Amino acid sequence: MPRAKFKTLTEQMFYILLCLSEEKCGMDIMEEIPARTGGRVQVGPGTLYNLLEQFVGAGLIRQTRAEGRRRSYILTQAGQAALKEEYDRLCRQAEDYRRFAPKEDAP
Amino acid sequence: MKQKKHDLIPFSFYDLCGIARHLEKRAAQGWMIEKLSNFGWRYRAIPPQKLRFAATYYPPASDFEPEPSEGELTFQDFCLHSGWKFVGSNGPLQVFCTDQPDPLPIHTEPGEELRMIRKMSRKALPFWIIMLLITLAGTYGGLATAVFDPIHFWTSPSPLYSLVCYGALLVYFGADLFTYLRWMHRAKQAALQGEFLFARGCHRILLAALFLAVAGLALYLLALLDQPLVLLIFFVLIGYLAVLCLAVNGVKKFLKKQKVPARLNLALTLGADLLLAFGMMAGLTWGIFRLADSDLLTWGQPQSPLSLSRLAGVEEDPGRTNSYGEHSLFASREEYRLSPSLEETVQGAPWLDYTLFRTWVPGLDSAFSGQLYREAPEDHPSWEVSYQPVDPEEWGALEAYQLFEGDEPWGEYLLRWKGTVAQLHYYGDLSPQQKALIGQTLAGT
Repeated sequence: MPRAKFKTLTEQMFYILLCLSEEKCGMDIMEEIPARTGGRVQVGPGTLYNLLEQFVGAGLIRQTRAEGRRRSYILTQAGQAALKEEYDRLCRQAEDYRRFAPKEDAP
Repeated sequence: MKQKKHDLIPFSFYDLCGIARHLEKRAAQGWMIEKLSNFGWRYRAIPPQKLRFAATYYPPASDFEPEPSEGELTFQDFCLHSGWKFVGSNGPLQVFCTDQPDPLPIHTEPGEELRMIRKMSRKALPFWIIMLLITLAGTYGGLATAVFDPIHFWTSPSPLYSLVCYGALLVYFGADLFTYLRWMHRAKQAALQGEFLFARGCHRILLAALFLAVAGLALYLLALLDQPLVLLIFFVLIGYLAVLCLAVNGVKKFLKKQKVPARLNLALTLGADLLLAFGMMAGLTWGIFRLADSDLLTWGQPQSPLSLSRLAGVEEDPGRTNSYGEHSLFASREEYRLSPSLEETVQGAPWLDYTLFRTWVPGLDSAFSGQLYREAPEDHPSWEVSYQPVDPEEWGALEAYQLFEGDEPWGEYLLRWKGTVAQLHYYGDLSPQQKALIGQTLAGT
């Protein structure tokens, strides 16, 4: 059965939503994400543009203001819930790893 | 030194990597893309540079939009923010370039890029299916003609050329669709692992198909060199298509300049297309019918090797004598009707109808005579007729048949010599001398 859209977030989706916990201009997210992840995660401009459009369409974020073509967004309650759900899922995965990982790898 | 260059590489719509690599190669050769259109890509001269290009789609964009939408401009702003400068577009296709050696790709999420390409494929799919059906029907028709009507297939330049064109395009559209479906399946698997799988389209197959079509066209035109009127009609048709394309494109461009909304532009352009197509086709049809009524069609008609005066000592009436011929590079077909005046016909003077088939291809003469032999009952549905073998030596032929209805002989004959087949209908009785004369004349032509 196909997964519902945004039921599971990819890493890039997760960090875009995380950045939008505060009001932010869409383009600034491209610098913010590598800054927060030490360069580990980067979002290309095409991917960022498409995901912002999809998040708006899915009601996970909303536009707050527009200065010409520079638009700012912020998470909605649904977006916060989706982000929290993804965080909980990742925590459960981390817990499962701690419980079942080979002993020499256990922290 | 040339400042502009054009090319038209028919990249598959999903071969974005191929487009980007091609533009990078051009930039390294000193050519920067300036304009993309359906009629080709234009470049301007630059000092050779090592640039990186990226091709992507902005699906909502349309070639009918009077100007880029806010969304499209915002998309381009996003790309510029990452160092990707917009260089050109053709409808939804957007091309960017950067001089950074290791730029951040425009798409970093393979699933999202696949979603974008699948959106574009939904627009391409109806066209694919229609072209596959058309080329399949054309190829089947060509093959069926070759098998069941070899006379028409080999004596007319059109069927072979059509088969080559339709067959080549069928291979291209089939290969392109298959390649896309296979790549999309594998790319989806790779995307689940967070990896990109770059597509390799079928533009080389299309170039080969186009080369075959052009080569076939050259052979087709060669076969028409001694039929200047048919050549003229052919070039008029090509000119008609070219004018139609330019006119429709001109209508679209004019409406864009007038800032007409995209949907209205599309509707008006389609309407203009239909009107122009019907109008020009009506004009062409009228012209062809006028030609058919004129004497021009007699220009270039073949001369009969046989004559009633030599055969039966009867003068032919030029007003009741006509001929028709067509040929390809492999075989020819000539039809003749030789009639005396009406008064002499009423008095019982003989007349002669015959069709002459000539070929230099070994085995084709047998195929032609075999088809004519089989078709005798179809050509005479009201009677139970068939060809029966008669003495070929009377005609100096390899094979000779006469049409019989039961035991009753008719004055119709089917004759074969090496490289020549003739189907004769003679009103009168042929003497052995007349048969020998016919054989000497037709076999020696």
